[in-house]
Amino acid sequence: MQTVPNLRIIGTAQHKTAIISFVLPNIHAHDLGTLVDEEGVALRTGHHCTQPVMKHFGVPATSRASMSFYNTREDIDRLVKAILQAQTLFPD
Amino acid sequence: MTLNHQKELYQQVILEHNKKPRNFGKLSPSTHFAEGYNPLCGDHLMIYLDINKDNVVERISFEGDGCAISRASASMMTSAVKGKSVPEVLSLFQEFHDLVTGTLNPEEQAHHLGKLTIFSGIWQYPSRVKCAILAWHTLKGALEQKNSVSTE
Repeated sequence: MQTVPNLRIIGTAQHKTAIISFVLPNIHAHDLGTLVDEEGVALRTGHHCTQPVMKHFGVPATSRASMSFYNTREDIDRLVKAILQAQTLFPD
Repeated sequence: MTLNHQKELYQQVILEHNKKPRNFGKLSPSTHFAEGYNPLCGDHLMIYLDINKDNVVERISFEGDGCAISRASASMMTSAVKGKSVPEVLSLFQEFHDLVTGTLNPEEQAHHLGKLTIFSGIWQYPSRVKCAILAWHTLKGALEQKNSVSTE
């Protein structure tokens, strides 16, 4: 996921679980959520009921991919592809 | 599927209003004001109005954080209601509400929505209807002198 230009992962502790929150400049999490949904990828988006943490990181909302043992490398590739495609709609 | 989707929801007009919102910023002095909040998604915006003695919206502006749909909707709303009387604005609110909830078909029923019909496909995305309508509920709240509006 870090290969996506300008993608910022929120929470980078070592040994963290496979729950990845991230933000992109120019694309609000809700717009990203709808666009990747269309590509068959489910992300949770918004403030995740953690408004104080959002405030701490200075972001209005994040997107969150929750990976588990049943997810494959192909799933992640599909997510990355869908994000790159969404970025073409929201150029700098 | 993807192309259809982008065509429906993320049309150029919406993307353009998101990037360069009209009437963005604080209006001072203003005669009416309301703050709108959607606690589930975190969208948050302020509407400022300057209504003259003839009950006409002379100036209107908005500011806040939100997704492309909510920003574009707020921007297009400010352009649409400027110069209209308060009763006209309230009737436009109702038409827009019916449009985004899928009860008004702009091709078959009479309306005054003009460019706002661009939001006609949004009722197919129930989670995004609130994004489009937050600005309108906030505007209605401002007209009714309710300073705080929540869409939950």
